[in-house]
Amino acid sequence: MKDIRFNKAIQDLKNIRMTGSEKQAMLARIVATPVAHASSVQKARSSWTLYSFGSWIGQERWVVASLALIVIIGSSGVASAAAAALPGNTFYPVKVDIIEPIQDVLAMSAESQATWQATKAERRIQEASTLALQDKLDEATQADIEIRLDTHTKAFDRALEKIRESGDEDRADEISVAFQASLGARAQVLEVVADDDRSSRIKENHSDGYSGDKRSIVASLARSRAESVRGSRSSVTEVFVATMMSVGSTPTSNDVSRSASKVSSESTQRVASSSFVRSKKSASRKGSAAYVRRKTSTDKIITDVSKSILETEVASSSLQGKIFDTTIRNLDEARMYIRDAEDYQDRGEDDEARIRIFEAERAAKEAELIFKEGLKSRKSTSRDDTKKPVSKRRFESLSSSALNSIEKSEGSSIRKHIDQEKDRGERRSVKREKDSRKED
Amino acid sequence: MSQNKNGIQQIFETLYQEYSDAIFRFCIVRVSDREIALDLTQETFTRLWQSLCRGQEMTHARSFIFTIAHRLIIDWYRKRKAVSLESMSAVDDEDVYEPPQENAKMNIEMESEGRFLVQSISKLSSSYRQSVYLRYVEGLSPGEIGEILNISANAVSVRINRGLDELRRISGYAIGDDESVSHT
Repeated sequence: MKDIRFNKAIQDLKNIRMTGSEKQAMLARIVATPVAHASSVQKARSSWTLYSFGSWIGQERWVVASLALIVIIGSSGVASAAAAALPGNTFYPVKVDIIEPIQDVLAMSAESQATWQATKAERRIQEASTLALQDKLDEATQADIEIRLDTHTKAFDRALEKIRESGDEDRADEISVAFQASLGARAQVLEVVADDDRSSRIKENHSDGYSGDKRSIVASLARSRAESVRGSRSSVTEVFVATMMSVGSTPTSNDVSRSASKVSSESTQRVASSSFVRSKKSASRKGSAAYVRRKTSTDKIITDVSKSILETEVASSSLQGKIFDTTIRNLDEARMYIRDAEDYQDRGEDDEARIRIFEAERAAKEAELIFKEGLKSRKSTSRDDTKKPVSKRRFESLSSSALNSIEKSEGSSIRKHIDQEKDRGERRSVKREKDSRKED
Repeated sequence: MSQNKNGIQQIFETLYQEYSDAIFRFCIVRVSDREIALDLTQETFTRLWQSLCRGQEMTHARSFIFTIAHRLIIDWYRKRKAVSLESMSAVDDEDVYEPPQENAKMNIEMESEGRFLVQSISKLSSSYRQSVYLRYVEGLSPGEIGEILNISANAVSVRINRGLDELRRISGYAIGDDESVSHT
């Protein structure tokens, strides 16, 4: 049965329509619209409905393909590509501004924060030395790396301070020693390599020692940062002299020596402000227990490394010889610090003894790391030998002269320093003997 | 190429003549404003025109056109909702067929009987309104309505039947279940 009113109502509704002129005008407008292509039609659609997004993807197959590509690259490629990136590389900002800050957040405890900051600082030095090796270390990059290094060392200091505040001074010292040793060792190896490069260039009448100079700059960078966390002033003067000597011995490039000395003076200032952090703390009983432990472990490192050096066959290249020479120098330094520490310990000056034992540990660790580098350098040299007989010849011919030159330059300063320390130690022991005689 | 375009224009004009009034009606009943309804109608057919020009195939032109209009109306409601703070309630697709407010002037020139039907339909539960309207006023099949509302034809049939029951109660119309809807 049909309801008449319902039919009438529907008829009424159906009478709603556009006027003829409205219809014609609208048709004309629509047909006049330019035919938009897929890309511009997107704008006309409501861009935020799931429908339109879905249909857009459905229409544009390449979108699906490129999205998949982005996901694949994002998950694996970028991360691994960035890990090895050097300054100037496209992925370097990804590494230092995205991936590393993520790890900043992930390092929760003060201890992991400190080790992580140390790792970052080591990475910067590594990057700088790689660039120096490739002759790609320009001033802008150097400045950038310096700023980053400063940030890392400051964060490292803060983390260390936190560990100290939490009462675990021993652990803080341990981390700081490891950091100093790692950077210090790297600096010394770089210096030796730079020196070797320089002397070989002089021998071959190449007046420009470019990459060698750059390497010594990186070395001083590493050193200054290691010093900035070190609490001993004697080693600062030593480094200052060493840097000046090594840079001063270059025949050309005033700017190099200027920037290097700038770095050194910066480091001096920084150390002056941050020194004696450790000495302020009083040595507790726990501290003396730690002292014994440190001394034992340092002794062990010294013995091990000395033994390994003796066991290793005579240096096959001048470079390795020089690196081993540096190792021995560091071992001497460590032994000297141990003797000093024993002196102070005997006189009951625990604080002083503690500082000396840390220096001893640092020097011993540096020796260990440098020795490892030396072993590596032999490998790489022997590999080079098979490829390039010329370079082998060069190494052999330079062996004696290069060794002399390193002795003359920074080596001599350190030797002098060590001798002075030895003298002081002897004087002290003489004095002690006198004292004991008086007491008798 | 131009011959092809002429062909497309011919198809478009046929569809326009056939459905423009229905779309205009569909819009004006829901937005209660002649100008907005005109805008929405034009937008609907502009999109149809663009689709045809891009060579998009369409098997069901009528439901396709209604689908565009339906979505445009939903978008229009969303935009309007976004600016009016008094109606903060969430808008889902079913809820956009708003009842014309009591005081609001229905800006539609319509005979009283038609106005009564629109008001009755607008009083239906939100999920029934469009199914009933599209079935009885525009004469679309449950399958076509399902395409527009993105639900199955069976669900549309259920909604039409229940909506019709409600419409009978509200309006007092004696409409048979087997009501054949005349549609031109």
